[in-house]
Amino acid sequence: MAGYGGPGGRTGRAGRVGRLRPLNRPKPVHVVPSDGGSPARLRVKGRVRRVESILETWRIDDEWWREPISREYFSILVEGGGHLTVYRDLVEGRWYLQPD
Amino acid sequence: MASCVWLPGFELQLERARDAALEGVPLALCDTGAGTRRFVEQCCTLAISQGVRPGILVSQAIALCPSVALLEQDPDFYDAARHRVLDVLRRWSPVVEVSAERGRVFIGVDGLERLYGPADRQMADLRRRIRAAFPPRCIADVRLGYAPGKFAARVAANSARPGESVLVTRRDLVAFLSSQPVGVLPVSPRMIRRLERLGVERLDRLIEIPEPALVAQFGADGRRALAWARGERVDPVVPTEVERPIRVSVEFPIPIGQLEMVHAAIDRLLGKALERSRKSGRSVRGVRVSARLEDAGSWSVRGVLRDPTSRADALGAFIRSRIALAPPTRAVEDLELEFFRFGSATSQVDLFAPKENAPRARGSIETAEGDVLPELRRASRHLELRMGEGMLYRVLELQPDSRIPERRHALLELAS
Repeated sequence: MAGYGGPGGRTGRAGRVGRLRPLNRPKPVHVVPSDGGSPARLRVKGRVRRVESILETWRIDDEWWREPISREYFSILVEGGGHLTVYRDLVEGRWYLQPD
Repeated sequence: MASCVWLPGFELQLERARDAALEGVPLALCDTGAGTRRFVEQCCTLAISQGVRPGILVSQAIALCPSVALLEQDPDFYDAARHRVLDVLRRWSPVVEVSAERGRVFIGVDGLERLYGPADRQMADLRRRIRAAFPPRCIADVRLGYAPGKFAARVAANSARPGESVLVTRRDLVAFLSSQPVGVLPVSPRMIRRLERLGVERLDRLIEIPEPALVAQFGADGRRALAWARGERVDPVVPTEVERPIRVSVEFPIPIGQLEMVHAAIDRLLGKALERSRKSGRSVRGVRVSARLEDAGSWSVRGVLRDPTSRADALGAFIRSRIALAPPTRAVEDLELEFFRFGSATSQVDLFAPKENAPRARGSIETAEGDVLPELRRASRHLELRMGEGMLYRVLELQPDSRIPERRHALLELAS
């Protein structure tokens, strides 16, 4: 594929292929669930925040044919007005923060 | 400090100024939609007093008020008048923001006292200038608000009587706002309805509610509403960028009524206009198609794309979808295509935009995968030397439709 013209009118070379970095990778988060299993409190950047309301929940079940993925997502509003998306990994039982 | 100029029912006043026979007649403008179900988009106070409301069917409007004069919109005529208003305001202050709300403009007035004197004289001068540019009938209802921040200025203009101004100083701001109904808050109608059901009808009641309780009920909107009601949030006027539009047009020897021919003409115009936008290195976001209609009147459709593009097929499909919703009501005598909003010059996307060395035929912002501009490659090398690693990445689409969010995109290091 041709590159854009470089200085002096010569055809510029394409940049060499760099490394790939994952984007929006989920991070483990400490969550205290309520009796119903939805998040009640969580620790974000060293501070414990109360969950003010749960805006939406949904579930993803995928790739059962190899390493199954089973997640229960919660779109939450935390104390102070922040909007976060967390999920509980139903396979290993751990909580993760999913960057948007 | 900010000023708000509000011209309620400006289009209706323009129609009255154009045709004296409409004076004293209940007046309504139809929407630009096609088909038999046409709706009322705007109506005058006389029509409202007889039951006509924006959003009702034209047939309902006639049933409620048989004497109502229903007019087709004339977008070219209205746009020309709007531009004249903006010209007047931009000559008065360099900071002019066009609100998304119809007939409303915000003006930044900080520092203008040296030119025009104190607030009351400023408003009088502004009113005089608007009056000088328009027939008195058109701007008789103009209302001005002057207050700290856009929200308070908007409320002040809303509470002014037709042809008058309301000035609010910083000291009087809280007292002025506290007597206002919650309906003045620029939040969702659902939130307003809920507040009213909870018995919170005025802002003085709202500010008594603790912030956590409001946030728990309404989220971020609750916090914003409280800050506005307390006079703590002062939104500055952000001047609307004036971009020079690209216009191309074609005139037909005989009026054409077939949509296929209109589309074919638009495709030709798109090719011409895109050539000009490529020469200036811009991609297109806002597009408008307008036409003069047979037997007077005009028609137009406009829209803003979510992502800027310089691809003719993408723009063509976008215009077709708009025309399908509101096709011309009569045969067209000419067609004009206008690009009025462009890809931002400061967004990250423009880092990848080809500049002086790029072949023009490549389009202005799309770059093929792996292509790196020389300027960008140099910048990446400098960053790598200074920071120890490449700090520039390209967002790469992997599985954009994946249900697993982290699989949709990845960052590709722009290696030097």
